[in-house]
Amino acid sequence: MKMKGLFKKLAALSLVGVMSIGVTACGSGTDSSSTSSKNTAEGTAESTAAAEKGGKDTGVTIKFQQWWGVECPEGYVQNICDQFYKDTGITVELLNAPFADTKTAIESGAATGTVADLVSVDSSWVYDFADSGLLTNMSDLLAADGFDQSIFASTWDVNGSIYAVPVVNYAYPLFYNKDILDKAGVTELPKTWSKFKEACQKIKDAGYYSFALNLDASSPSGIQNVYMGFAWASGIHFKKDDGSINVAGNGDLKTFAEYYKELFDAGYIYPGMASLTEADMTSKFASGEIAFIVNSAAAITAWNKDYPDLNLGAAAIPVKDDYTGKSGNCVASWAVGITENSRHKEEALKFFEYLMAGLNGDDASINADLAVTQSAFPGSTLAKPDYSASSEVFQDIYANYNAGYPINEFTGMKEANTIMVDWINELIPYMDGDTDVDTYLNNVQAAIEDIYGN
Amino acid sequence: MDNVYKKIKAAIKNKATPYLFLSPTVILMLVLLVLPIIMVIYYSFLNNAVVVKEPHLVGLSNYKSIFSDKEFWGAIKNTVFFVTVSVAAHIAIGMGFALLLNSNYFKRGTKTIARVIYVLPWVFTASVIAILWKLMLQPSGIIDYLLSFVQLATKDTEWLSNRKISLAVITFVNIWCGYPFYMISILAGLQGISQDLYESSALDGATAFKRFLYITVPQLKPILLSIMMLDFVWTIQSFSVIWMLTGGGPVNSTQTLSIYIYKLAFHSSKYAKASTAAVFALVVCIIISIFYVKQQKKVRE
Amino acid sequence: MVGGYKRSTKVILSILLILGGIFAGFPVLWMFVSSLKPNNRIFSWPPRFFEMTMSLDSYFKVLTDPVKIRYFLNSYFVSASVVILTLILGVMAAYAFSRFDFPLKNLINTMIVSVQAIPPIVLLIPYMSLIVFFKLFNTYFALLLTYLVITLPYCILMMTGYFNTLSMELDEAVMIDGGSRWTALWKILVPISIPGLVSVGMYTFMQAWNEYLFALVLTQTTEMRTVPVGINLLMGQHAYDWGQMMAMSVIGSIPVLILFILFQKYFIAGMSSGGVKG
Repeated sequence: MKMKGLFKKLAALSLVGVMSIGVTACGSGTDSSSTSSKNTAEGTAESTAAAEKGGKDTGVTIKFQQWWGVECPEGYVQNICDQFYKDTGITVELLNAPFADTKTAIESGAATGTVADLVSVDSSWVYDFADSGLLTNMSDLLAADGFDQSIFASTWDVNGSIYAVPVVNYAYPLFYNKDILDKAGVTELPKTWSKFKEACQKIKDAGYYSFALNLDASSPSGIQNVYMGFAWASGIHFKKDDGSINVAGNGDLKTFAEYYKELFDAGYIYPGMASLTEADMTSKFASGEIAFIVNSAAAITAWNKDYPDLNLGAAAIPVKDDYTGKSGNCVASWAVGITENSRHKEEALKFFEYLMAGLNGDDASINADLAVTQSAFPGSTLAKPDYSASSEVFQDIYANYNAGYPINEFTGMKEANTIMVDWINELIPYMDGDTDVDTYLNNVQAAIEDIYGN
Repeated sequence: MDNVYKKIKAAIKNKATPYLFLSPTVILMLVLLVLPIIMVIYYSFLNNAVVVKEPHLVGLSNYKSIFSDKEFWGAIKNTVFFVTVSVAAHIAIGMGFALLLNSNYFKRGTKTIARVIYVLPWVFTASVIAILWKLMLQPSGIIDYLLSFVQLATKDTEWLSNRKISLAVITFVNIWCGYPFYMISILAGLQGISQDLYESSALDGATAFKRFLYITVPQLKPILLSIMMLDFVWTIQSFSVIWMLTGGGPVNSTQTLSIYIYKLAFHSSKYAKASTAAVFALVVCIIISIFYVKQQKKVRE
Repeated sequence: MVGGYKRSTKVILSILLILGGIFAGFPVLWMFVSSLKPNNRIFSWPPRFFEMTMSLDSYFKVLTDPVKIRYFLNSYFVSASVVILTLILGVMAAYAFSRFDFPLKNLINTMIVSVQAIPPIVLLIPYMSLIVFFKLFNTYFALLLTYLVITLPYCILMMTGYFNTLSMELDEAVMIDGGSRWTALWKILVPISIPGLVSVGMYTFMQAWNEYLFALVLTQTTEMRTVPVGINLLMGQHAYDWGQMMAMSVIGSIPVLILFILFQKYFIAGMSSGGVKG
């Protein structure tokens, strides 16, 4: 008898489950605009509707795997897709995955033939994706289409061919918390390394954390954005002009490493850096714990929304005291590539071109608007973003960005993620004082060469 | 004649019965797990898989390169610590809590509340467990705050980023989220033990500890063996919590076998080598499960 | 009955009970507290249990978002179905292991335990190819089958152990009365084994409810996503939505706890286990 009762309960539960799913499936059909994706049934329904209106439904649906929809204001990316459908009759279905797992989703999709037609790519993946044949050679596609490639602000090339193109670029300025600086008596923004150190000391004396370096191993972006970002500002590079690796015996890099170690030894760097993630770092900065961080300008939108009390400012990254040249600005991008196995390469290319230069290749208002919305810089040189309504903070970032040049030496490197983790694994023992600076740099050089050697 | 025919039919039916009961499970396992596992074993003999168009056989060279990799042995060392401590603590805590909840010392209401609280760590997905503990363990987090009252920590005490203790810390988190599984299983097992056994021994004047040792443990042995075996297998594969807490860092101090495999496959695109390391884990588990099946048989006899 | 107890024993046990409660419950309490805080107060020092600005905002946001509701319904549907399927298939297999000796027994037993020994990360791609081959990609069936094979081994092992503690005489009694093995299993053994079934069911539900990796790759569109994927989608590239993440976990755990409370009478000591002899 007891068992009967149990099964009745379970059966009833599952029945409720099935029914409610049916109900929501119907429910979501009526307000597809608010959901970020639509199922096929809805797609067809809309297509027919469009066809009746005299539209030109092509019946083609391309899938776009990205994490932008989650980052942008709700419905923003979907609106672009809806407009694209109205203009061309091509449906774009957005596939969302968390940023941290997008690479896993794309790779497993590619291996099993379920990958989207268009994928957004991080700079650290592009070499591996091109090398494994996951991404198609965009140079060929663009040439065949006769698209004007000169409008691209930058492209991600592997072996001389384009495999992905940044749609928008993000600067990585030095953000500061004005309230903490005021309390610590830092009246002038530090422009040089020594001034930065002085400022850090004042902040520390005032009882705040001065600066943060995120070296968590699961997403090793800190070594690129914060560590090397700081170096690039002073024209310090880890590659020679010919692209060869120049870490071991690089005097500039050694000076830089020693400077960072001084910051660390003096206690200016937020504790727990070896497991600090970018999300932790930005949250702590925004909560008013840390005075300075280097982070993506994309964070401004979220900060404005969630941290109304944050008194934020942005400055150029301090440079080496005797450095007078232009500053390299670390950039990160939202780039897209087209997958090799896509059956709708033409349509996917068309959507990409639409993002960059509109329907006829001459109107980059979509690109400009995306850039303005996300506090970013357009990937299309045609775009004339109107930042007049943007915050003062962003105006500063824009001015600094224009005064320097964009750089990211990690972009397009083989197994970039592994390189960054290896780098972190050598940096931490050096910062802790377990190895000396030459060993540290030699080991990084060896690790990178090992990856290229294989 | 008819009688003989019936007998044969009955004999066949009798022989076939266990297979009939097992067939849905076995078919599912063969198709959905054994087949992909064979693929993985095959990958381990290729130069690379998944990301290359025309892989070719390379014999044992992946095994040689894995076994000569210092990082691999570091990962094995971490895994051995992580798994042994986790499994041992799981069983101790799970058994302790199950006995507490099963004892006659508390009121029904108290036990109901305690049961719900004790099962809590179990109801959250791995990423939430990781984020929650990361939130609590970071400098100026709640753990530092509470421990600062007893002088065990300061605002800046690092738990996850200290190379000396990070492995112990992630093991602790794994213990926290894994014991309810034991607790529930043991609690269920305890209901299967007849009260008569206890009553007869109580008459003999046995102490609580002796009753536990001579009645409870032997009675639970088949269940305990099963859950330890499964826990062992699962803990070896434990991935999400470690990955989201430390990513295997700092400086590989928390890099277990599963983190090592993940990095090979998804950071370095070396699927063949990742498969090789996975096959190693598989072989170890098969050896242990053969031992387990033998034990299980002995327990029955 | 263990009868009269010593006061000191009760005090010690009470202290243990409370310590255990803190160990198990405090992190969850902290999660709940965090879910009530606005994003900018989650990291404040000193950490506070109560903030002036606490609100149910995050819960409201989660519960009014049709996409997130869909994640919950998907998870409930998949988990509940997996529980039923696993229990049926697992009990059948466990019965075979417990009551019969047959030539392939050890082999099948070893297989059932060791198939799960391969790290899912490497299994992911071959497994996914299979799902795509069977045209199950991005369907409920993909998740159902996956969780079924993940949870079956535990169910089989537990129920085999459980059935082993039940006397063979029980089956024989049924068969003497002219009943079949099938009847003996479902009419006699299963009803006695309800505590075991409930604990296996709980476990199965939790596994299916919390699984992330396969849910991520075997489904693709928003309307097929489950709660763990939904929670991870709140982890942005640069910042997390702490409040909503915590709120989603708390909301997700409530029905599970209700189920647990509903079924927990089966764990209570002294439940009739007459006729069950070791």
